[in-house]
Amino acid sequence: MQGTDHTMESQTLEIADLTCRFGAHRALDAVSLSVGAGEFVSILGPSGCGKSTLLRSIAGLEAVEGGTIRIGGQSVDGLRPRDRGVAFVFQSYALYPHMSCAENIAAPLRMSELGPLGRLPLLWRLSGRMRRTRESIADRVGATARQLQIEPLLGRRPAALSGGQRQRVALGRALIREPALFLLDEPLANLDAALRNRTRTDLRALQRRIGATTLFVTHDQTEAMAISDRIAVMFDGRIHQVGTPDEIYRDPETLAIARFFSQPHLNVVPAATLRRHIGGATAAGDIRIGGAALEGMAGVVAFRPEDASIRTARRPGLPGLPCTVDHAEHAGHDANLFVRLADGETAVVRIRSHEIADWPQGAEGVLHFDLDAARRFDAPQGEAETPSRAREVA
Amino acid sequence: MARALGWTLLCLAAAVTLLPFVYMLAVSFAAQGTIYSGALLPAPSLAAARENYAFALTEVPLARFMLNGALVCGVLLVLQVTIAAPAGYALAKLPFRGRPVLFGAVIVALMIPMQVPAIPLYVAIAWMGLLDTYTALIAPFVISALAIFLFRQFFVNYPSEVIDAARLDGFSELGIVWRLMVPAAWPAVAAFATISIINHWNDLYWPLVVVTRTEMMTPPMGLAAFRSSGESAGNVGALMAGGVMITAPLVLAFLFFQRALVRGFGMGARA
Ligand SMILES: Nc1ncnc2c1ncn2[C@@H]1O[C@H](COP(=O)(O)OP(=O)(O)OP(=O)(O)O)[C@@H](O)[C@H]1O
Ligand SMILES: [Mg+2]
Repeated sequence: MQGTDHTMESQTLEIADLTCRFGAHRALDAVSLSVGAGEFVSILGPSGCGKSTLLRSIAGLEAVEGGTIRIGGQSVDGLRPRDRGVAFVFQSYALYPHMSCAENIAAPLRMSELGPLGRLPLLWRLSGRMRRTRESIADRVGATARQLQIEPLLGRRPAALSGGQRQRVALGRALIREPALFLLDEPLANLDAALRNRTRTDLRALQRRIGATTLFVTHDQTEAMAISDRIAVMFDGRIHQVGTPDEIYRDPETLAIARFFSQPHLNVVPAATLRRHIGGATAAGDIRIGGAALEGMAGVVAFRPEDASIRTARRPGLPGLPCTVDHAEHAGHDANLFVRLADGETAVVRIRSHEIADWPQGAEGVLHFDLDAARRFDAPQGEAETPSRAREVA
Repeated sequence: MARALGWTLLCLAAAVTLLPFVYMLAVSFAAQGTIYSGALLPAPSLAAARENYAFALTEVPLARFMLNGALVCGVLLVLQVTIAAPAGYALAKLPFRGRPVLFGAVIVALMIPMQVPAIPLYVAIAWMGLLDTYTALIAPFVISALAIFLFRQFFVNYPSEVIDAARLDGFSELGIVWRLMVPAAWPAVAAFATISIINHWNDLYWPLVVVTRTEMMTPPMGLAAFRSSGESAGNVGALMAGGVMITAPLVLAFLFFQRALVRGFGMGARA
């Protein structure tokens, strides 16, 4: 992408105690978040957790029950959506169906810079000022289209575009306003996998160049990790953790976050079960997980398949869990080996795919895992007594 | 076989429907003496046609009636759409307290025939001294429950995210109605326009209630007056010529809007 870039004055965003209710259901529950000028922050969470509602509240499209929103230090509470200086890219793109792409992209400028008279057909020709404004709008539409490489599409209607092209037009309509704040609601969700990867890289490069503060909603944790400065993880209308992709990946604060960042599998074993299998100590001393001694530990221990390994015999001096192989799932370079622990619980181990043949069903082995990478969590409600399982997180 | 039967039935129904119109046309072209000759359709003659049409146009101010009709229908349609489009938008897309009740009221209003509020309306119009005016002909119909209902049904399917995008782009609520919703709903507009024009062009009841002066008469009322006026009594050819002239605009309008009309009413029942 080349051409005249839009340079925007990026602004900070501060949200404090934002609450939004639909009937009895709290879609947002005291959400607080600070975003620095020019920062790219992803809102990550499962479907229905309130991501769109958060973005819509910031844009002023949803009436909030309480809390404050400041953009560039100024409270925008009570301001109309158009006056908040934010641009929104909707998941469905929300292009105006009966307007051409050029008219779609020009719409925000036409509304803000042309008076009602200037928008009438023909009449604008009478006034030199209106003519110049129109020309300036057309120039900026052209520049934006060049930047997004959609110039050949400008004359078409949205119905005649592919999903990726529509997405770019929607982006153009947002860009052309030179907003203080970009709100992107799953803008990549409707693209196929290859296009999604390429577009997310483009999107981030574009955002770096124009330096606009950006909130990016997604329910795909790899996408969030790939392009964010920071990620805010949301569940049930609350933000559970905010941090860099690395912080959240390594140190998830709750089991739910750990599961979300370990898709498709996370091994979760109650601390008591673990103790029964491997004891509280080895010759080298106390076993410690996440800084606490396993001896007397409550809750559950979680570790990722890639932090686990399986061997035919116990490595001397290290704690291991005896297990029986159930089946393997090929995943290209690697494979996921499903094993059954001594008392019937399932765990998943990441092996190289060429090793699948070494582990036929029923083979006996010992499961080791990296104690430093394992984390302890409070047992989730109602799950403390049930056997641990490798969970598929939807 | 069933197909052939269906076609036959449809053609028969079409013939039965069209016959009066064909007869009207034929009689309007025929000389007075040949109409009751016993033939199925009287023979046309150019001279008779000229005489019939000239008589209809000169004996009563038929052009004036048609002008009245056009004015009443045109102004009425503009006002109806101006009011119904924002109302339909509010009922479809703006959440507000009491919306279901209001929408229910619109549906109830759809089912009330004109004759029910006629007397109070007449009294009010007479009290305001507006009898024999265009206002009297137009005002009672300006708020059309049918238009509100039709627009609401069309608008309700319009994607809400596009409306939100418009709000962010700086469209006012009325801007959303007129620049986004109405252009997208033009089949509904065309369908409603056709219904409204047909209804009010052909309406004989309400003009009879509020109009007595000849120069305020609408086409059907004028035609009725023409039939009973002394000179033309019995001049069936001229009467039919008048009928042709006041029917023609409607037929043309229908042909013009035909496709939109079908789409407008076909919504929700798409094949
Ligand atoms: N207009 C509304 N009326 C009632 N409930 C609503 C409304 N909008 C959203 N909700 C509810 O609020 C919750 C959050 O919705 P929201 O659209 O913010 O979820 P989301 O995180 O964006 O999900 P997704 O990833 O599926 O888009 C959901 O439970 C939803 O059912
Ligand atoms: Mg959403």
